[in-house]
Amino acid sequence: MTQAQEIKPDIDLNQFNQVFFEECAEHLAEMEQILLALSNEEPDEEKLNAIFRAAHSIKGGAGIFGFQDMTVVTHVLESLLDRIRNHEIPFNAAMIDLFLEAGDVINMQLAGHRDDAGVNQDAVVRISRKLQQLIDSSDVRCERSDAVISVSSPSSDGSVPVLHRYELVFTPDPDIFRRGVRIEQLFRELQELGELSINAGLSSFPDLAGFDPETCTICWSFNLVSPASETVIRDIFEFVADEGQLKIRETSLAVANPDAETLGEATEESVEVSGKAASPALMGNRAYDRNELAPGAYGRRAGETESTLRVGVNKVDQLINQVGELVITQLMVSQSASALDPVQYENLHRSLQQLERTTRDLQQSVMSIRLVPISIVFSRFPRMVRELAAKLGKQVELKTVGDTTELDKGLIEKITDPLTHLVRNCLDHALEIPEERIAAGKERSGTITLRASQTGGRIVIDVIDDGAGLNRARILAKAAERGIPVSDAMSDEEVWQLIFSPGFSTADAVTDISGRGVGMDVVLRNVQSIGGRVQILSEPGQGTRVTISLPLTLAILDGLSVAVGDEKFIIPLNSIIESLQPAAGCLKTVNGKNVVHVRGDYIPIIPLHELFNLPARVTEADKGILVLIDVEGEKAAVLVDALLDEHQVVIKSIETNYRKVDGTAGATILGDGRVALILDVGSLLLMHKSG
Amino acid sequence: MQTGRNSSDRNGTNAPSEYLTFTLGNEEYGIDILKVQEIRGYDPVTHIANAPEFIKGVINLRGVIVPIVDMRIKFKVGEPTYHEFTVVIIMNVLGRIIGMVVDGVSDVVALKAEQIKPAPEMGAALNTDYITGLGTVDDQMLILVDIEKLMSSEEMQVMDQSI
Amino acid sequence: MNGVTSQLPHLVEQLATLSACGINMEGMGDSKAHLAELTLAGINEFDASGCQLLVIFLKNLKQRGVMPRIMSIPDAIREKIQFLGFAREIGPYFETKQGYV
Repeated sequence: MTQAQEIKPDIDLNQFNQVFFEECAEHLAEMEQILLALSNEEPDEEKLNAIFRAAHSIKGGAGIFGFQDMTVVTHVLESLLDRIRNHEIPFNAAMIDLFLEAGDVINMQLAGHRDDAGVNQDAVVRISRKLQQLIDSSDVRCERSDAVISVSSPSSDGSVPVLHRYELVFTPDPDIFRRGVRIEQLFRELQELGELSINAGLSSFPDLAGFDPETCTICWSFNLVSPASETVIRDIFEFVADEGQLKIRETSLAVANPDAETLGEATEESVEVSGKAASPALMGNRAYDRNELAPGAYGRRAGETESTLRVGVNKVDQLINQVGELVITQLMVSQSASALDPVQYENLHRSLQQLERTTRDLQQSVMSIRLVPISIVFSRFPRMVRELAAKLGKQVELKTVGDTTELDKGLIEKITDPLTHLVRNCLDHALEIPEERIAAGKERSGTITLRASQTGGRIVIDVIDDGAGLNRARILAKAAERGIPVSDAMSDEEVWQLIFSPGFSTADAVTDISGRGVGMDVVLRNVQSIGGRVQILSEPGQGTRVTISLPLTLAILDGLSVAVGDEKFIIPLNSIIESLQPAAGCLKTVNGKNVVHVRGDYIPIIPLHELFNLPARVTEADKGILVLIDVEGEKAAVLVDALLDEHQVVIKSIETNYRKVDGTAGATILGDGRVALILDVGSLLLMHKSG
Repeated sequence: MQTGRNSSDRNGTNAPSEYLTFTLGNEEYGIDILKVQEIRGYDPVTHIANAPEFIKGVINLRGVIVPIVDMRIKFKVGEPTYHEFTVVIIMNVLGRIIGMVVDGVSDVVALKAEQIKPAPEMGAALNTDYITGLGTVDDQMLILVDIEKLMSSEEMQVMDQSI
Repeated sequence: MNGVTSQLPHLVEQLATLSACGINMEGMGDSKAHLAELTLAGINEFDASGCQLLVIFLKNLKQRGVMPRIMSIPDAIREKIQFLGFAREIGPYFETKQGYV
């Protein structure tokens, strides 16, 4: 026989708590999702139930796992929600913010337990008090003690709740004590549902010596008369009972209007595991749980319909690289084979065509692994906008367009902070308070639009507001103050660029939202670090549009290869308008710069060989070819020796082993195995302008 | 740890380090063999716009874009000619792959710690800052180069200095 | 929980003592059966694990021919035992009469 001293050591509670933490976080996220989706509308019954359920599950779990502090806020929240649900307290839009705040506090408490993060107790007290005030301020006649707070929903037709009699058998996991489950709390939850009687029995009677008191051999049976549905009961055991450890059966006819006698009987009845014969006619779901068991319904984890596999990004990148290699090799083989007689080697040519198709498909599929919709970033903003707007006393509507635009995961990570900053700026500086807006003849509520689109080979993200617009005079004054050289002759575009100077801020008051002067320069740097550009358009009184354009770093690029001397370059096809051999008469000089006259436009010529310091065969524009490019509305003509071919190319980074090369957006490997630089037309234009 | 016996053990009285030796002009240099990935001939490069003259350009090394630095041009020794015998040492330096053109690759030698003497200020093509010491092999002086320090230096212009 | 665990060796020891010196205990009560008195006075916390241990202890005593009586049980503990559903298992051993000893 084992000695008493050999009792199993305490096992790691965290392992069990982890489940609760995860579920709890899930519930909180669901709650927030529902609340945000409401956008000031009154939630319907289903949504209220779902929010209520989330709060209730968290409270229950927290109580059972001994995180008493977390039950405080959830309890008040739950009580309030219950009253709203029962139409005892009218819903108002301000409650959404309050609920969101409560969710944050619970999240903070959760983090406190999970990560030993700090918990702001003041916030806990504050939100509890606010919620409680709402409850207290409502009609007093509905005052009820905690024990009677009903978890049931009122029947949809408003009739008297139907009572059910349940028999529950709970055979807990032998480890339940070690898990630190607060069994009493669990029972109290059950008690809140209605009339409850509890009976415990031991499934075995071990000898005392050698018995581990932390091993649970207890089997509980309950008799419960309650209006609650079986789902509600199961929810209470959500964190505690695994499948098969809880058996629930409805044992007798529902009573429309319970009287004391019936209840009394129910309590006195002895409960054996065998129980009374159930009446199957009364089993089944009530109206309340109609949709909630469905996968994906609020309050339920989504079903397994879309199963996913977690893979390290480096593995995906490796795959992308290898496929890139395959494409190049395939190109090389095709190029070699093209010299072979098409009749004699007909089969080979056909196979090579097949190989090419398959390789392309493979490449597309592999590339798409890294692409994620921008909605991942956009979805952060409704909450932020809502809260900031409230804080600032502004009315703001947030619109998102092009949520499904896909971009590389790496870009998503890097673009989040700059976008957040821009949206904050809109709220804090650009949008006016309602009074000012009305005075200016605009609608009370301002609008911020986030728009993503794929324009050719670039992803364009616009942050648009209909606020006051940038103040030219103030920016110039501020810049002068900071010792930045300015002149009144500067174009608007140049003036707007000034706000990207380090430490520049025109905000009159430094707020805790933005305006600390570390802003736009960081935005610009972040965007540039991923090969992006930022443009500003602003109209006084009309609003501002900040446009971020990003390269599709990982996408396959359609490009035109051109020759300059012995070198080949790739120009992204999407930036090309047309190519032309200019007649000498079309070439002019304006302010010492060469331009080409095309259909009424004078377009500046960028001689690539000059810009890149290359020996070229052609130095005169009328002897070479001009490739007309479009850089976000601005046109330029790139002078090259010759046009070669159209390719789909894989973009490779030069910076992996070297440094950034001005005027290029990376490199690629051509069919002959040589490297060709891919031109970044935007930065070419900048290089040309700066001389 | 800090006793003389231990440190000399560790630094290889018994475990010599291996160096790849190469010539630049009239001088013989050595770099840590562990930094060398491979040695190959000179393939045509793709020129990089506005790069210094000694950065010949980039090549495709099995799908990786690798910059090629010609040390002969950088240190103004030898003849910067490119033919079938021109040698490129592909190195792995600070996580980057860089190719280095030299006059020729000679040998791999093993040097024990006591065979390496500190480098005096001298008139070698390379600045003393990048030289870890002088070794002697068959009466010939070998200049040992700290290739990481050299390649990451501002004057080589291979790496962005912000990194 | 830890409280219960640390008490276990002590309980086992007491059980051994009780059952071994059953004869000597005859004089302790007026009943013919051996009688053991457990006092729960001073206990202010009691959980399901404690209930379980108590039930097993009681059963073990009975198996050894000792009739247990539970004395001086604080109201809160009695309520807790009932709340946890152990009224049927433990209740019969409660001695409620004051001044029984």
